[in-house]
Amino acid sequence: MALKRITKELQDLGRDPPAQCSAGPVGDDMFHWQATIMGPPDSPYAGGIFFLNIHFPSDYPFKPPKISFTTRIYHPNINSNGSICLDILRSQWSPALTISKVLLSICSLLCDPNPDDPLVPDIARVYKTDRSKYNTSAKEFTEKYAS
Amino acid sequence: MLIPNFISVCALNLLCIITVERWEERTDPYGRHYYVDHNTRTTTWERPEPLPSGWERRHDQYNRPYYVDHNTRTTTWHRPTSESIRTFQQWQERRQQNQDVRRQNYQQRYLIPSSGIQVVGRDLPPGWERRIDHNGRVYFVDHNTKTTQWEDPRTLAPLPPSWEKKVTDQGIVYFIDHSTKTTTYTDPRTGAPRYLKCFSSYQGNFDWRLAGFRQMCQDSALPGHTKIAISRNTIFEDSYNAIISLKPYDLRKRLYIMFKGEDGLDYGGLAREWFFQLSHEMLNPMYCLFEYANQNNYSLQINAASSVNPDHLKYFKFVGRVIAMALYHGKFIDNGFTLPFYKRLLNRGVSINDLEQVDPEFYNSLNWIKDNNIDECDMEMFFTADMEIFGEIKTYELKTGGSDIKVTDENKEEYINLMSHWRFTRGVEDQTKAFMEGFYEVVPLRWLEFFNEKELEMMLCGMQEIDVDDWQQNTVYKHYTKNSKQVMWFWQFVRDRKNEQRIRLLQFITGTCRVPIGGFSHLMGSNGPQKFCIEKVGKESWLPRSHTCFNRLDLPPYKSYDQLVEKLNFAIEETEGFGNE
Repeated sequence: MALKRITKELQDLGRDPPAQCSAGPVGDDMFHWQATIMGPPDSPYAGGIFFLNIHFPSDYPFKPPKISFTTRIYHPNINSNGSICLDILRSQWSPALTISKVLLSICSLLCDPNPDDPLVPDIARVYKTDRSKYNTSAKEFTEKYAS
Repeated sequence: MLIPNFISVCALNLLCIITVERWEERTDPYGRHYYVDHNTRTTTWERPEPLPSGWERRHDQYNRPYYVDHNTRTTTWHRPTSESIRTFQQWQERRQQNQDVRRQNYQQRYLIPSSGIQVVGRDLPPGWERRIDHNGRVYFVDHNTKTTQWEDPRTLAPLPPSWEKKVTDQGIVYFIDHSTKTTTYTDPRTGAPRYLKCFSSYQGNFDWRLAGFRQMCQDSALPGHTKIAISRNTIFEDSYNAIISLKPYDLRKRLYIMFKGEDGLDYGGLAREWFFQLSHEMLNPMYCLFEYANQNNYSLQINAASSVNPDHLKYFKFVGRVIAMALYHGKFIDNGFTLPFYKRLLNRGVSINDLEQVDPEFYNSLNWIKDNNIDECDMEMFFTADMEIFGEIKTYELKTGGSDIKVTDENKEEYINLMSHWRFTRGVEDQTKAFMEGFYEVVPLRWLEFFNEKELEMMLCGMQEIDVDDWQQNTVYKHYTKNSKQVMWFWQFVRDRKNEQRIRLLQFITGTCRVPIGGFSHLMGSNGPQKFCIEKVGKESWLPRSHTCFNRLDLPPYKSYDQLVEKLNFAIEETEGFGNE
């Protein structure tokens, strides 16, 4: 079941690629993909290219894919290991979600962080109290690691 | 010719000696240091250090290096470091401490409250006498019927109203039912199914059915005893060898457990200790026979990868036998299984609802499919399922030709049923069969037909006295406060119940009858420690609902205490699949 579904998602991505994102298998293993997200233009991540690792569990789509950033990023909901705190990747997962939809959600998370449910509380505090400092740090990280 | 050969051997030995401690430090492309051992042609991240004292390096017949610890007379493949030894010692100490807590916890369990709570102060029924045999064991004489038994008559359920126990001239016990003016040799508390059926429909009948089960065990017991001698350090292997070579009927004889090198006659205490230790060992997930249901549910289920042990099926048969023996001899096991596992053991079908406790994510997704129109989503799902074992993913058809049958809104119900069943049986069918085979040899399935999976759990794991204060203190509320009427009624309800009913409530809420070791503050949920939570949900006409993976009770805002009692009782006693005999 998982393999057919993953194959279909790959075809759909080729036919109708989402804006700012791309994804595909790393080698022969269809259960291991790599994805890229271009930093959204209206965010401090603009100009950066971010790489992500995707692992599909064998119970996919009954269980969410495991997705993490391999490029370092300064963001209240993404930690230094690249782990992402996003509800649809945990409790709010549904089998109707696809990699394409998940990547788009991550793009919007880059534009609109969720500081009330932070993975990195320090960054969340800066985001809430000193927005320009947050923008500067995020830009610095983007230039240093994602360009 | 001899001399050059001799020299070359010497030279080789010399070379070995020189290179024994020859390590090299290198740097990988990421600038990380690693160490090359040229003797073994292996690399490691840890800086090499000389072997700790008492350790020796040896090679096996395939020339693989291994390490001997002469201090403990053990061997390992891993090169020991002073740090690894320290960590191991700490682990051992903590393990011992945990074990002590577990044992204490285990000693407090009971099924029939005989531990003085109700028996103290109560005299024996008229015509009964308490005696002690030459081994010091207490037994009871019924002079009315001229029979003896081990069980204290004060803890046995009394005969149902209108029944009377009599003895024929030949000394055979029989029973009269004055209401129907009939007689029978079968004890109404035991195997009389028609009689028990009318009992199974109301609560509080557990004691009766349990007494019936005990009686059935007693009636089928063979004379003589079975001696099992084991050593504490090798309890698993010794017990395996002993149990598997005995005939099933021998396992129903009185047990005499002997721990090698220890004095002590087994009047039940050693057997109890043996069941505690052995169940702890054989169910230990490190042996790969069983695994925890998920990260935060410490109930056990069969490990689909158990075939790493080529003899695993024999071991499952052995474990099945031991579990049945615990039931038969009225002893408890240390850890328990998931409720769906007990359900399968009772040969009752599992459904999608049973998944919630075992695999909440899987359950949520199946439920989503159930509740939504999937034709709109184009999910590309077929009647197949994948499973991964040791990194290899294999596809299985849920029914013949399933890889060509797409799941649609029309056929999704069948799909959900097949998928739920598959989720529970995948990779564990042979193991389950072997387990059941061993189990039923000792306790036949028909002896258990009057129990449901929750009661089976209580019979195997025993009950503990619930500390209601501790429970209440470690409870949080959502849309209620601790002073809300309904919350106060709830705690009044808990305090008004007998312990058995409190245990049933706990089972309803958390999915297990076992109180967490360390008390209610240690209750675990799907995402780590999770305290018991009462949430205000729904309308007063609704039944309470529980979410076992979150230890949450959805309690509707009932209008009165009586209404709350009625609804809660109904929800707890509602035993799926039990009513439809």
